[in-house]
Amino acid sequence: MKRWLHAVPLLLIASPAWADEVLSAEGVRTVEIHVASGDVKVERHDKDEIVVSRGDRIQIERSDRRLRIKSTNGDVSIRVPRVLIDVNAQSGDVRIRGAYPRIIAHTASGRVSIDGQADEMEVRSLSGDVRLRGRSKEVRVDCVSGDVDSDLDVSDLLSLRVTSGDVRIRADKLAERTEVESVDGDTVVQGGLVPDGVLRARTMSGEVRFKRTNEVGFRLEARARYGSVRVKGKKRASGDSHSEVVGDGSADVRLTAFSGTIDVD
Amino acid sequence: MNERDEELMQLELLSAYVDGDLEGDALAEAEALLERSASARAAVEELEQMKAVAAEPSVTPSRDLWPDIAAELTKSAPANDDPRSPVLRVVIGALAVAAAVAVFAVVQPAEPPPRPTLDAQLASARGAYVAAIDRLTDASEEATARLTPETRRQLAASLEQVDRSIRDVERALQEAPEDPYGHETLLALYGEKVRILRAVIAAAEIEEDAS
Repeated sequence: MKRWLHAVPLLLIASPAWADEVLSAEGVRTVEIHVASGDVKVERHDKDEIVVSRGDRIQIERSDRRLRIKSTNGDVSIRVPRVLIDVNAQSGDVRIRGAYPRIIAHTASGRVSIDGQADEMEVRSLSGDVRLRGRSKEVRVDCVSGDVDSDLDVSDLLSLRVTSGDVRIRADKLAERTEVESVDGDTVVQGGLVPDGVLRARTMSGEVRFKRTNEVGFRLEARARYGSVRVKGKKRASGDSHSEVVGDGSADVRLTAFSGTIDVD
Repeated sequence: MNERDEELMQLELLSAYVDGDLEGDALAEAEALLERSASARAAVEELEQMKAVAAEPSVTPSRDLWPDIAAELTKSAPANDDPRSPVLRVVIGALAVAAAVAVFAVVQPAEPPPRPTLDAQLASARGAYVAAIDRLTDASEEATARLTPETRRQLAASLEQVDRSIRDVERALQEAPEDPYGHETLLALYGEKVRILRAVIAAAEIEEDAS
């Protein structure tokens, strides 16, 4: 084999650098990404530039303080400084890492994975699963059939609406207000309450399970119209509501099911 | 004043804020509420979106959809006598889960005509939702066709689950027609169906925006 052929793989490895487009981030407040078919990856860096690893079918538009990246077919991978992130992906997966003022991720069928920090997070998905890690003040998730798995540390509001997926929330300390609504998915909330905090979970036919992991007292109102309520493993109500005060009763916990079950531990 | 009354008053205040109808102390009160309450900010965001939707009478470019839906959703309000915000009246019908009771409380006119019975109000609200669902189902057909086969399958399963739940609750209400929780759950399920269909339409717009 001729010696120069050994260099070809090295050239190919190096070639992605040619596909990167480096744009000034000066004045850019929002980066919008619209992808019809393809995955989206967003990562944070500390440079005042936006690096787009671009494919053939990517368009980049800039207007006012907004950078808009569009792709009909192909993955989009970008590195950005601290800007607002707004991702809209039809069928690809969305991965967002890093700290931003606000994160918005909308997908039809892709999975959404966020591991980072943002004052606000907003996720909408028709059928993809949603995984959330990191920290935020306000989080809203709207899902139809995907599962939602949150290990987020949320201070103010965590609001999750799911039709038929399962919801799992784990946190050392739950948000001041945590709301979960589902039709037939199961909901598991495991975490510490905050004094004067509010937890609301409601399901039609799924199971709602709440496991408190600290000693903050709470007022419990659990209602399972055609299901059952269990507290610490003991059946407390069937076809009716059950109320009790635990400790100083400072937090407010209301769990409701129509034909599903409620389990408080 | 119980928690729900307070929420309703706040919703009215925020609705007036969105409409730009507040001045002086009321404006300061609304601003203070927004400063301290994440859920108030979320409500304002929702109200502003609904107002924008009401002003722009098309969810998809080719369809004149929302005015009809808004009209259907607000049929329970006596339009000529209702002095409340038009935005609020639109929102009342669309905010499904929390609205089951609020629908009736908020739309009470200041000088009410003879009050409709609860049954009449429920029937009206259910009729409004069913009409809205019919329209959204038509509007979402094209959007559904653009989804991947797997997403369509999951979407159909979720809608079927909601329909099954609606049937279950309706059966339960035949047994216990006075059960307020049953009525509340039923309206919440109708609202859930509206939410799903709107999500389908929004998902189709992602593809349009990408091209």
